[in-house]
Amino acid sequence: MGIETPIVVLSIIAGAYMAWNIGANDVANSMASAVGAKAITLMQAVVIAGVLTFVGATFVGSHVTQTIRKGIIDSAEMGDPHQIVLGLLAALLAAALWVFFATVKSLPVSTTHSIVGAMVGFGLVVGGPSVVNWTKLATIVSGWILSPILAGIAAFVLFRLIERLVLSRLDTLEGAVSVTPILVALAVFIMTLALFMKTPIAQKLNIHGIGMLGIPLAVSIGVYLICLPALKYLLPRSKVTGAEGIFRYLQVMTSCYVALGNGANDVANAMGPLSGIYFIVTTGSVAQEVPVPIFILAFGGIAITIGILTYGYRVIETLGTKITQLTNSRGFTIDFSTASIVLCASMLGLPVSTTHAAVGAYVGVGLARGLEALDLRILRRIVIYWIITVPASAATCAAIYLLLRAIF
Amino acid sequence: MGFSLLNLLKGSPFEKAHDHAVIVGNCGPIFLRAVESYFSGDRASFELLKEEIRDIEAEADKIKQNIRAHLPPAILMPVDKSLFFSFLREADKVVDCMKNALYWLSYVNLVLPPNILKHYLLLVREDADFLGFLPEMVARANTYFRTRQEKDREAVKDVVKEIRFREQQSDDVEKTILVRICADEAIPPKDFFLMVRLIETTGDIADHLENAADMVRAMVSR
Repeated sequence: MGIETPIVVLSIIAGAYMAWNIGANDVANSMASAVGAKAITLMQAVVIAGVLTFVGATFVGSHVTQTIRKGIIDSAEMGDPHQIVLGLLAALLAAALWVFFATVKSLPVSTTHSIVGAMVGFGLVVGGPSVVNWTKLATIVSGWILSPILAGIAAFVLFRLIERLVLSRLDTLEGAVSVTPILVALAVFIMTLALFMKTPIAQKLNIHGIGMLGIPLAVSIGVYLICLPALKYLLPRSKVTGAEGIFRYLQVMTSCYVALGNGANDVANAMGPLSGIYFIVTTGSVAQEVPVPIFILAFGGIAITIGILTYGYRVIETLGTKITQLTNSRGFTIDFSTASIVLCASMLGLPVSTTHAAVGAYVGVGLARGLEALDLRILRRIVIYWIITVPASAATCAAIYLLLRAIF
Repeated sequence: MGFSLLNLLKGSPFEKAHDHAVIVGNCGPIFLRAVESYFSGDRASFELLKEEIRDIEAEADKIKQNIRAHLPPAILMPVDKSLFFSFLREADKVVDCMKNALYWLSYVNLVLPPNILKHYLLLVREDADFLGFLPEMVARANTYFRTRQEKDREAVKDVVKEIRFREQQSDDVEKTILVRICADEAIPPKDFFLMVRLIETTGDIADHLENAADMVRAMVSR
């Protein structure tokens, strides 16, 4: 047995643990508003999140990843593939340990931030400050700051619009019929655009240039044209009596998308470094970008799904008493704003945290007078741990790397 | 346990305000029974009912303090928090007034002239009946803050209008009694003072309820 075997085994364990955490915390958080608004039951949330996150991770998740996540450090300057393997393993272990600590202590940390911090730690200890792409890191950090702010603004504006155009009418159903097709079309536009920009689908269908924008636009217009008459025809024949009934369906739609997006975007946090290790171990060479084999994505998808099934449901269930404040319109506003901002950031190549964007959306709805009592002390905690996460996981990674180097 | 975003949401303070309003609202019939017992000469029943009101007042106070204690500055509410606290204070003063009116009665054996007694009992019945609007108003406001729907806002406005109307009626009865007391030269000064104090304190019940309603109206304004 060569030294590669224990490294690969450790990497698989750490990667699986990271993926499990994504399922246990991140996906549970993304489904929380839907369960809170009673759009879906806890069991439905677990099934939807499990299936769609697995599908998102395995089939929509990026099939190519940069060896060092998001190019934060320059792998070319590192030289020795063995050092990079140890560094990637240290980064995975450090991020997993930090997330484990956070889960035990109920601290609001992000898997995305943890892995980015760990990568920085690895770069600093191996090559010093010169190998860290500080401009890239600054862009990523600005994304972390901007995403909750933008999600907050989006949620504030959206809730105010829904209130003005739908809820403030005596016949809310009438308002919902004219507004919801626009919201559905907008959601479909962003989703289709993200699908084309973030997955190999566009390449496979040979879509590029104006088609990347034109097709999502055409699809969303088509959806609007179908939705409007369909709503007008179906509503008088259905049991839906108010706007909240319509928002319930919209929220189920956005929740499904959030679950899909979570799987697609976050699986790389766990499987990216693992793929890098697998590539280096099997080929013996280092590349800035490596393919992510589908079996690794599927492995990540399974681990995320296990995280949801074994732990994620408890995150929502134990807080059942606090969920009365969320109505379907508020839940939809939060999910829609979060998903849109995360997708837009993702299209720009910024690894933002879904949980943190959702926090911004909650605060946005709260500022729009949409929530009965919002505890801003939690926000303070989130910001503190958000700041702590990067140096903490960087320091842990550095320590683990030095330990691994001494062992292997 | 992992971190959940639902930690951001706290229990609705409006639900606890409703508990407070229900307790205050329940005092109406007890207050009426206490006053009727007093003027029918049944002091034993009066004392029991007076103590019951005192206990309710203490319980309402506890709920009010609990609501205030759980709303630190970091809690974001859909309404101005000082307005919400003022509303609670006014709602609490309703039961304070009932307690005070009963205490004034308990100090002496007050005998009201028949024409004044008739109107005073009318005022007390008005107030007792009127108090039922408080929990109703808070329940409707609670629904509105949960749904933000116009029909629920209209429901709050309707009950606020009714409270304002009933307060005017109560005010008219109060003024009528005061005019009669002032016109009666035969009332001794001590009795005059006690009567005026009793009528004003009883009249304040409706005033405080109207103040609470005004604050709820301000809270639901767009």
